[in-house]
Amino acid sequence: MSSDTSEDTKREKTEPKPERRYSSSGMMANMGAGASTAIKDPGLVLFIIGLLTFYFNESIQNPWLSLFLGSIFLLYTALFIFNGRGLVSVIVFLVWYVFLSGSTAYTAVLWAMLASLVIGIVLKGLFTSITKKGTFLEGGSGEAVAIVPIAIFFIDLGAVEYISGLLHIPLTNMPLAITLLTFTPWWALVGLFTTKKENIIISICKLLAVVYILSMFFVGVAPDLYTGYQQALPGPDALLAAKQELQAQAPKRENPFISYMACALKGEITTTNTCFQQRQETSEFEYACKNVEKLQPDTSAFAKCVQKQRERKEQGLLQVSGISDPTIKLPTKAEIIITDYFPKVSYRQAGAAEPTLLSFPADIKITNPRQQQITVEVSCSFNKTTPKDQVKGKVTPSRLTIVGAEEARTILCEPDSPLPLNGTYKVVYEAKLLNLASTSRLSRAFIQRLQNPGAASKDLLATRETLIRDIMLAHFQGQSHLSLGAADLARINFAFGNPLQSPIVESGQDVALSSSIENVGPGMITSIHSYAILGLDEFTLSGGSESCLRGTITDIPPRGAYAKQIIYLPNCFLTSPTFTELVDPDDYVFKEYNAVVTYDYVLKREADIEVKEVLVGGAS
Amino acid sequence: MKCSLSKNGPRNQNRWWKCATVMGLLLFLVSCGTSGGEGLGYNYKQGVSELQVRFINNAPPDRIYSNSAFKMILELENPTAYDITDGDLKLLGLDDKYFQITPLEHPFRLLPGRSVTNPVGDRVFLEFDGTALQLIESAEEYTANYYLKMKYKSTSEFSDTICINPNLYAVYDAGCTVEPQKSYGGQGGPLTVTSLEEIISPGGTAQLEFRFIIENRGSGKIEFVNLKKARLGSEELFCGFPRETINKQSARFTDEKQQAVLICKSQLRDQSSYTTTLSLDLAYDYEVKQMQTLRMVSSSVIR
Repeated sequence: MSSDTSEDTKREKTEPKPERRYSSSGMMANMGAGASTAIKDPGLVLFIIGLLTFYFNESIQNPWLSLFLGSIFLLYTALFIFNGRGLVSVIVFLVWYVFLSGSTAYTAVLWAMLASLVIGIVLKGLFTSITKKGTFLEGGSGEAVAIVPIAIFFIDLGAVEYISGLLHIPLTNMPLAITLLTFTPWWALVGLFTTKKENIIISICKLLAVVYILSMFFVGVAPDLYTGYQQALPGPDALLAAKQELQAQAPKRENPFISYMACALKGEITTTNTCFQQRQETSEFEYACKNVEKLQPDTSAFAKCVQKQRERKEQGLLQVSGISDPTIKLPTKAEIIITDYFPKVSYRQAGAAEPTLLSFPADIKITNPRQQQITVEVSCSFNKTTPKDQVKGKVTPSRLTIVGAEEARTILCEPDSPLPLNGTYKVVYEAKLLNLASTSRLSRAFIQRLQNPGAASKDLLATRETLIRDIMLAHFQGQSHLSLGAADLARINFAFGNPLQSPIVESGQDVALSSSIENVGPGMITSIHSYAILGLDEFTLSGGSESCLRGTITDIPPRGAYAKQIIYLPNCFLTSPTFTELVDPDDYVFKEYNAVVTYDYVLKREADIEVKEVLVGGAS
Repeated sequence: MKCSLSKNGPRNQNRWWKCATVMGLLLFLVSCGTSGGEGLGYNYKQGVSELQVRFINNAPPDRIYSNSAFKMILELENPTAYDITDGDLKLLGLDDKYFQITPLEHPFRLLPGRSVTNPVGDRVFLEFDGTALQLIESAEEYTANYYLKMKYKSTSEFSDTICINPNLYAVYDAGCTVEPQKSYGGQGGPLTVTSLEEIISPGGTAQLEFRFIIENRGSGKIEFVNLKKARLGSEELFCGFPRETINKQSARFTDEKQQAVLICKSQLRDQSSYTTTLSLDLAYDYEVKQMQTLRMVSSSVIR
C-alpha cells in the first residue's frame, strides 16, 4: 500500500534484528502502517461500512449519528487509508471543529485548516528530526494529505446544504444539492477508490460509482451556488441542523440513478425526461402514503392516497415560500428544557402508608423580543411502552403568562393517579402557547403598464428592460423578492404578482395572491386565530374570495413525520392599482406590504425516567 | 529708469522707492500667475467629464435612527466645459413607510460649466428633509436602496483645424497634408466626437464629406442629440444623421447604442490646399442614475 510498509518489509528481511525499526515518516505513520497491516484492505472495509452506515443512517435520520460516524470515518481514513499520514492534522482539526465547536468565518476556517496542517507538519517534522528517523521535511511532508479526508468530512456532514439554506434557495431550485446530499455515500466512495483488492466486481463497482456520480450531475442542474459567496462557516450543530432541515423539507423520492436506469431500460430517456420526472414524483407520493399515512401498498386506499397527493401537488404549484428576515436577529422562540435537576432515577418506598410524592421538573424558556403577552398552558403525562400504559400527570403551575423579553419558568410534573409509578416511563411535557403573532413583509415595485407590448418599439422595450434591471439591482437581489418573516415558531409567507414570483407589477395588471402559514419551529401549529394581508386596500378583488386577504383556519393539517407543516391559505386574483404618479415611464414606485398571523403552538418534550421501589430497610 | 542708489539727495532716494515699488508689483504679478495648464490659454473643451453628484459628509448620516429627522444635502458640481440647464433631480425607489423625504424632486435651472472666468465650474447644493419612521417590530435595521435620477440639458462643441486638398495629384503642392481619419479624446463633456473621416471626391466641382462618430462617453444615457451648427471655416455645412428618417438634424440614442454617425457635405471651389476650421455645435439631453443607500437602525439598539 505504501512505500513505508514495503521499506519496512525490506529492512526486516535484510536486517534480522530482534527490535522493530520504524521508518522515517514518524510514529503516527508507523502506527497507521501497523494498523493497516492488521486490517488487510482498509479501503474495502471503509467501502462496505460506509455503504451500510449510509443506508442505515438515511433510514434512522439521526444527524448526531452522522457527526459521530463522520468523525470515525475521518480518523479511520487518516489512520488506515493514508497510513497515518495527516493523522496529526486531522486530530487537531477534529478537536477544534467537533469538540471546541469552532464556528467562525470562512476565511478563519481556512486559516484553521491551514493551521491544523501546519501544526501537524511541524509536530511530525520535529518528531522525525529529533528522533533522528529522518529529516524535518521527510517527516512533515506526508501531513498535507489531511486536506482530503477533512474536505470529505465537510461535504458528508452537510456543507452544501448549509450554504443552500443560507442562500435561501428553495429546494426545488437545487436538485443537485439534494441529490448529492441524499444519494451519495461519500465515505464509501473513498473506500472504493482506495481499495487494494482488484477483481472484476471491484472494477464494476468503480465504474458504476463513476457513472453514478456523473448521472447525479446529469440528472440535476448545477446551481451557481458558490459564486462570490461569503458567509459564516457553520459549526457542527449548524451543519447538522441544516442537513436535518433540508432533509425534512426534501421530498422522499426514489434514487434518481434507479429512476434514470429504469427509464433508460424502457427506452424512455428523452430530452424532456418525462419518464424520469414521473417516476420521481410517483415515488414521492408513494413514500408519503406508505410512511406518513401508514397505508398498505396495493390497496385501494393507497391508490386513492397517491391520487390525492398528486392533486395536492398540482394545486400546490401556486405555493409560495418565504425566508427568515435577516434584520430580525431575535425571533420568538420557546423550548422545554430538561435540566440537570431532573431525576432520571427515583425511588418509591414500598408498602408505605402514604404514596411517595414524585415530581419531575422542567423549564419552559421563552424568548419574546416583541414582548407579546403569551399564555402557556402546560400538561404532562407518564407513558410506559411495555406494557403500554399512560398515567396522567398534573403540572404546577398549569398556566403561565409571559410578558418579558426572555423568561424561563420551572414547572413540576407529578403523576395524577392513585396507582404508584413503577418501572421505566417517558415523561411527556406539552406546552401550548396561545395567541402568538408573527408578521412578514413583502416588497414589490410598480411600473407603468405597457399598453400594447406587440406594437411597442424596440427602443421602448429596451428602456423598459433597463428599468427592470435597475429595479432588480437595487431592490430584489438574491431572494429578496420572497416574503421575509421573523424566524418565529411559525410565519406567514405570501406573494403577489403575475407570475407570483415576479416582484415587478405593472399598474392595472391582474395579479395572483397566494399565501401560506409555515411551521418553522419544532412543534405543531394547532390553531390559526386570524391571518391578514395588509395594505392591499388599493387593489380590487377580481377572482376568488375575500378569504385570500383575511380569515381564520379551523381545520389544521397535522405535521407529517417527514414534511414541514404548511397550511395553505386561499388564493385569489387582484387588480393592481393604476398609479397616477407613474407619469414618467422610466420611474417606478417601491412599496412594502405586511401580513400577520395569530396562532396557537404546541411544543412537546420527552424524558426517560425510572422509578424503583425501595423496601423499608434499604434493599431495593 | 536707473535704479542705482547714489548719494545725490532726496530726488535719487525717491527714484529708488519708485523702482522698488515697480519691482514689487512685477513680483506680485508673476507670483499670482496661473499654475499648470489651466490658465488663460487652457482649453477646457477637452477630455470627458460629466455632472458630479455627491452627498455632503453626514447628510444623510451613515446610520439613521428610527423615529428621527435627518437632512440630505446633495452637492452638484459641473466640471464640464458647458452649461447645464433645465436640470431635475429625483429620488426614486424609497418606500414612504420607512423614509419620508421632501421634496422628492428638485429642479435646478442653470449650472454653469468651466470657463476662463470660472475654472472649476459651478456647484449647487440641493437640500432634502427626511424623516425616518418606524422599523417593523423587533427588526434591528432596514436598508433602503434608491436611485438619484438626474436629467438635464447641455451642449457640446467640436472644433479642429483640418487640411483641405482637392488636388490629390499635386504631390509637389507645398501646402498642408490631409489626414483622412482623426480620433479625439473628448470635448470636455460626456458627448464626444470620437472620430472624423475626411473624404474628398476630386474633380471640377470637388465634393467634400465629413463623417463624424458622436458617442456618449459618460456614465449616463443620452436620448437625443440635436445638431445646432456645422461650419467649415465661415461656411455652413449640410449635415444629417443618416439613420434618422423624420428629422435628420436630431439623432436618437438607444439604450444599447449610445452613438450616432453624422455626415456633413460641402462643395469645394478652391483647387489648392489650405487649412481651415471645422466646427460642430451639438445639444443633447442627459440622464444619469446613481444608486444610493439609506440605513435605518433601531433607536433602541446600542452600537
